[in-house]
Amino acid sequence: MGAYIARRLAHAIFVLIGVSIVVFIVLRVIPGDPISLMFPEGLSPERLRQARAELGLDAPLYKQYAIFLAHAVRGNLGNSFRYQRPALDLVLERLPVTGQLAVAALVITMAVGIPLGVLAAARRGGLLDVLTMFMASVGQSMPTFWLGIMLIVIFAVALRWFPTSGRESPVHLVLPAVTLSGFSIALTSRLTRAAIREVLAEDYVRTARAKGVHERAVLVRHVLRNGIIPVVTVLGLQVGALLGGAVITETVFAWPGMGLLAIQAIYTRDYNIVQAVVLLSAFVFLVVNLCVDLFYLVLDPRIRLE
Amino acid sequence: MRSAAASGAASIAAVAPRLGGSPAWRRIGRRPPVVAGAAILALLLLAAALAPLIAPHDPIEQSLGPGLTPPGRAFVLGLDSLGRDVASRIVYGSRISLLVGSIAVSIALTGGLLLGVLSGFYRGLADTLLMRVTDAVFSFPPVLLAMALMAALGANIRNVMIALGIVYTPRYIRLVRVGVLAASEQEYVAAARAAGAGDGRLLLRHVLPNILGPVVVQTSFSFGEAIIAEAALSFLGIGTQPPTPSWGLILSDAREYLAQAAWYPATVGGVLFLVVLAINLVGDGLRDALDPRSA
Repeated sequence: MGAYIARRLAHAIFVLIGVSIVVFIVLRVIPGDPISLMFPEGLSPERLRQARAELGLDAPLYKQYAIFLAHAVRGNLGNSFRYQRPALDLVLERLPVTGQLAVAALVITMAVGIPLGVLAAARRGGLLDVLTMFMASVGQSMPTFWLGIMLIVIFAVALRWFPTSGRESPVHLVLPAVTLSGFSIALTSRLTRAAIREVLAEDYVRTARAKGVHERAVLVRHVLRNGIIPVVTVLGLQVGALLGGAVITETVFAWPGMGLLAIQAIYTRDYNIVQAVVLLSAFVFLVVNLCVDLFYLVLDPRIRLE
Repeated sequence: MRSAAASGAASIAAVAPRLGGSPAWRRIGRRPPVVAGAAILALLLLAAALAPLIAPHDPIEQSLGPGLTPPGRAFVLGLDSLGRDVASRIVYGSRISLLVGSIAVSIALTGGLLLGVLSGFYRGLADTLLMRVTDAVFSFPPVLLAMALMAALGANIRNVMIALGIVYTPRYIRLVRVGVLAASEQEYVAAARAAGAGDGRLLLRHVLPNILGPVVVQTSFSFGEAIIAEAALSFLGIGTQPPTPSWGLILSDAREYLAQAAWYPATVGGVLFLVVLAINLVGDGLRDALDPRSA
């Protein structure tokens, strides 16, 4: 068990270093010259050289990365050009706002996607199975921003049940959370169905049924306990999709989270904020999936014995 | 559930004999959702190819009539806020979607094939490094990574293709690597090597044909995803730039007038949704035919 935890932790740290390299390459190396992006109106050659030295851009690339990493592990991701404050602080302030949206979407996903997948697998070939698979295809093909817009048109503009945008009350959360969960519900129900169907074909399920165990008990005690592990994996991986989808959902509903902050930062060329949002999202994704890995210790006793 | 990569490996053995006119293949071709999807895609291709002939108006000509004229006899899908013909813009927009989708996926496919073979066939340090890099890239939400790339590269249609190509490359690297690893261990590959076949011949004749199935399936799904992603980036204002009629840009215009013109987002978004649904339905069919273990 100790070895398992150590292995997972080491893997997460390695990936995190890789993440920092990717961000460094994307936002520091590809643009060629960040100065020209920061000052699109141009600088005098003298001022340019000075600015490059101030930002460490005259150092070799590996040295620049070492400096970047040394700052990053201390939580220093530079200042926002626009707000003149540490970029990480600004992003961390918005994290709970995005978190609220993502958690609400995850709850909807679990409450709808898992039961649908289980029932579809249990009633293989039945009407519910066909309908679930059809809805899954529809959900996976629906662009998030269009779903959001149409929900606004129907439920906010025409029926006036919900507000079109903002974050003043819990009611404001409903449409954005439903929008964000659309894709995840589709994916989760489809994969839950596949996982449950696989377990239903196992010998121990046949044994349990042969012993005369009630079908519901078979499903809950034998099938769900074993089939839930891949579903938890998928839910962990969904966090990435939810954080990415949040950018679009937040734009549609003017939800003031870090996605909206990131997109506004791109408009104003505030690169340190973009960098902080991207790094923090990958960090959250890695931490959540590390937790999922550790949660397996609870779900699957075999790992504890390793 | 198996991961996409693992299922790719598992299906290698089953794939090769199923290509072509096998019964499984023909059965898939008769399935109504697959046929419907293929028909919609054929229509889309036709619309894109014949856009100048089909589109009733110039897609960027303004003031054809009062702004936000609802759909009617004169303008089938109405006019946008600047009085441009929405139907013509959607028809021309199909060119953008198809172009970005196919180029982005081609970049990812080419990069993934080269790096995946390097990783899976030659192993060693390159393999270790590439796997660490793909692990890292998979930690980013794809949309967010594409956004960061667009921020770095600058917002235009060429960069959308490059950014999406880069974002989708790691999944092909994984898929190809796993397939190459599995195929390399097959006895017929060892036999061909013993018979004196060089690396190039081994790869082209014996290894790559066996990973074709999962790669084709991945390509169909990535194509649909790329079309949505282009629309999303353009919708956010960091993709294709106006006045080019990208579907995402049309939707972003429509979003400003939800109270006055509910029909406007419904039409263009509906087309985008139908096209992606069609691609995914065909992808499901391809998966059942070529990659049966992951279905």
